[in-house]
Amino acid sequence: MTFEPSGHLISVVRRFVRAMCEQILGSGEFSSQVALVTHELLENAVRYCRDEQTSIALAVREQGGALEVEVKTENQARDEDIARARGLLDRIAEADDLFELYQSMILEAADRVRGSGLGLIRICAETELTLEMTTRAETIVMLARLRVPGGQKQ
Amino acid sequence: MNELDFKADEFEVAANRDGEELLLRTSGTADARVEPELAALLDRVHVRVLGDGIRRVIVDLRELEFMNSSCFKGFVTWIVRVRRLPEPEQYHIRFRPSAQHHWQKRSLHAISYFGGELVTIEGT
Repeated sequence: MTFEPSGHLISVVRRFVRAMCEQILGSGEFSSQVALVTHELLENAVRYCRDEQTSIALAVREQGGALEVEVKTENQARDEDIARARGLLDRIAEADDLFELYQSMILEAADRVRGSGLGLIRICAETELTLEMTTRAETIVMLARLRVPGGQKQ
Repeated sequence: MNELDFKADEFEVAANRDGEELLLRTSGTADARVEPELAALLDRVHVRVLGDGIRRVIVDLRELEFMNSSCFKGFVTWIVRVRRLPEPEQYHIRFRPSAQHHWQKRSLHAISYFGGELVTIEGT
């Protein structure tokens, strides 16, 4: 799905993703987490896109007795925004204690005038999804992945 | 509608004072569309609480379907402002969550850890 930036549409997509996940995973925490990740990634993609085009793909597949859910966003971004996202993910990857890092980033966010800088760390600290970032020229691709052992409904 | 009531897009806050308590009942979706307005609202809440001698603010989240990280940050900024007050002026913030909205559990855990004794989460 590809669409132009709109806050209203992001909420519509989040609800759609949640409803779809609830059919597969049940109405427990996993569906809520995938919905949260969808919203945060889409808002980032919309906020930092260069050409007012953002795409999102949701995939659910069975793999080795587990269900794997993927949320992927793609958008064109400025070099400095790509570098900032890369820096944040490096900081997250290097953290010994993710919750401690989250707490220090929350404190840093308190005095920020624009944005929060908390979207990516929130995904990593508050959900079971893993997050990867790749780039192709000026395109930034965020891939969040959840593995549900047994694929059972919650 | 008083100055602490707010409604825009899919987000709504209704404020009610009861003695030394102020209740903020939130509902809908708090996201990038209302981020500056929520920050401004929490500023007004802070000023009103200090001016009117309110000792506790209850933030009812039971009808809040979703809150994004920018609005989450608005609450963080508010809590930091309370933390930076001289101790006698500090007031208490209590969040009233919904078990139905699973995201609230982890977000509120993060915010309560950060807020220390000033912040409590009902039911924990």
